[in-house]
Amino acid sequence: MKNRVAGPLAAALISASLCLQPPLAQAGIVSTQDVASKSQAQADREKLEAFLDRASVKQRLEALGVASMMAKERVAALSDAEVHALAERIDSAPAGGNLSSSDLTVILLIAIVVLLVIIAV
Amino acid sequence: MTRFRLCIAGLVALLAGCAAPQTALLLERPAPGLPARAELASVPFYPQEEHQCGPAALATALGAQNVPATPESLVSEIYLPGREGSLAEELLGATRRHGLLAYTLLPQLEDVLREVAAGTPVVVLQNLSLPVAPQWHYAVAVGYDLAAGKIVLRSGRTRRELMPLADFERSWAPSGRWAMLALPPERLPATAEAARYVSAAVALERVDAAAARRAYRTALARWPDDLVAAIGEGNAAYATGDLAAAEAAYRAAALAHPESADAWNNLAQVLGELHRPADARAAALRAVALGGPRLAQYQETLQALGGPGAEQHGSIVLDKEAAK
Repeated sequence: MKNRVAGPLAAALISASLCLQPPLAQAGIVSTQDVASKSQAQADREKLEAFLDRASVKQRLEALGVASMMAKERVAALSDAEVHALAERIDSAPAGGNLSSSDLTVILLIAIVVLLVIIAV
Repeated sequence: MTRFRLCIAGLVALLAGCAAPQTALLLERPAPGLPARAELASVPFYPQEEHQCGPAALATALGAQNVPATPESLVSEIYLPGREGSLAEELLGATRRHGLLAYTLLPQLEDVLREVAAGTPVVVLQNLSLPVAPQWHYAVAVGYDLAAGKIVLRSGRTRRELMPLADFERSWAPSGRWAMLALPPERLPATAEAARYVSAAVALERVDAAAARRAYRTALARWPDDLVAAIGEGNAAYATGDLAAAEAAYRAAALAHPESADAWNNLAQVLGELHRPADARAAALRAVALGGPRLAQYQETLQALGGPGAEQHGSIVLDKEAAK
């Protein structure tokens, strides 16, 4: 069962990677990232993952209102680990914004209510 | 507004009832070598617009390193309209796009204070609300006073927000104690760790090879034995087209780490491009002989150099050079 799924999946991934040609380092030079990773198998897997992750994060950035060109540049500035983290949780990762005063009022009200409840109990 | 926010922070702390263990430890037993107080008064301040604390905090950190940027100019680089905020990872990316090294600190309050004491403002991510309805906020730590138990932040519309360290720690803990520095590649963080710093430089290399080259050099000045930094310096020089510098860096890496096939392979590649086929083949043969997980790549390098049969000659040349 496992093989029935894994086989086609691997084939799809491999053909995807062949068609899309993930950007590799210049021929001949071993990239710094490869030198830093523990094994070549790990490096290859990470490269493929990062390639797929980058595409999905770029798509999510666009869906969240970033212009396409800018989304591409923004994704390019992230390390593989960062892209991977965002691919998994771009919709739930902390997004530092602002507290508008209406937000603060709501929070204060909730806080007071909770405090009252605690005291009452 | 500030008092309002502090009042909320106090209430939240009261309700959450959570402790601030690092603050307690720090105030109880001062860390050796940590000044009792420090403040970076000259760090610029950009009062934030609605939802724009990310751009404001980043502009503050970049401005402190004399990199001109305004919150408005950074909005298109890090603001995410659909989330009404900015993601921490994107602050790191934007820092690199401005030619600075983005270094995330270990999740330790003491390290934040150490960096401030060493002259670097620290961007921090806080949750100013309850865990159930988080309000994520970026601020920049620019000072502290251990005797008073306070931290000084550039935050929101307040130039100099004085926050009790314990309240700060409680608001900072929910982000996993996220803190980052934006540093010129020549400057090592006061709390720098080799692996952390070098991987920050590897990330910079993706965006700005020239800046990364300086960062690798900074790393090597402190950790001369770091193989990744040694090859990284060569790769960054290679990427900027400075083949002579790349050769020198790879050669230094190969001599310091003769067991590194990667160093020999890259040396071979650059020597080939410098039209020194005999030396190039000798280096490539060293890489192939050492083997390892990237053997196929070394063999390709050797094949691309062409002309087998120079084996003996090549290694003699190289050994002579190594002996020099």
